[in-house]
Amino acid sequence: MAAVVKIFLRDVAEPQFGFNLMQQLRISAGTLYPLLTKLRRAGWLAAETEDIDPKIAGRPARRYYTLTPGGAVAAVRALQQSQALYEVPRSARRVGRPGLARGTT
Amino acid sequence: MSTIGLVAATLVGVVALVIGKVILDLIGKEIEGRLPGLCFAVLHLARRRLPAEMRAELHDEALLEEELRTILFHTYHERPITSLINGFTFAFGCLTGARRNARAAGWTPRHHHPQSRFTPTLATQTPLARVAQLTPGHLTDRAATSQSDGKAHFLAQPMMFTALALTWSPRSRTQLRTGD
Repeated sequence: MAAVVKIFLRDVAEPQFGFNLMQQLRISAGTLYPLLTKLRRAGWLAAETEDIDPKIAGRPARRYYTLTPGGAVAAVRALQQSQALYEVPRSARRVGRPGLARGTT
Repeated sequence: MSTIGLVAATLVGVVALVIGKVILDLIGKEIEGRLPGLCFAVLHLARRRLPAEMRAELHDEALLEEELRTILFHTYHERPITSLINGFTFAFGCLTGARRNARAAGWTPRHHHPQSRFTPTLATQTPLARVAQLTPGHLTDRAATSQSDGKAHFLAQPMMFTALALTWSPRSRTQLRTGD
């Protein structure tokens, strides 16, 4: 989920489509689309169908997903919270010298 | 063997080889033409795995078929095998993730009872007095008897109640617990 959100946060204005996201994240459609559905249901993503003529464009139309303004704020907050969860505690930072990390005293 | 026979045999052999080659080519082209169709068939199955009321939103509006078309035919002429592998991966991913996708959209399976699934209770713990209140509709065919008044008729032997407990449908178990 965090990886998907990070891709959207790289450029908030840039729309993404399913195949592109799958290639970037190297995940299957069975993993990606439930995540997109969840994010869309939560109001973080907005989906829009590309308005093109497939014959002129030479490819089928795509479904583009973009972060909503509220979604972008919520995503940044959620990422900050998750980073805080996995941050090394200060006490561990002082102790974490190379010699100790290898288990030597 | 005469010279004419030898020439005729050679000619027949050459013609058979040519015809064989042509037929093999045709079969190859036929298979090549059908393989992308198989990807679409798998994707169609994925659509069928979605609840009927969500197929439009989660499949049709998500343009999954168009996505598959892009994956398949984007580089089909240069790398047909890679395209097919990508296409099948996409289609099977949609198939295996269909239910997950539906649940992400708020769908819950019709016979999904979280309580019975995670904290199983034995049907034999059900008070027998409440069992007697059930109508035949609550029971499976094996459990209900065909009495003329339409009510379930139970034999009081413990073996019979054990059999009933084993053949109880989840629906009736829930009704027993909730008292509906």
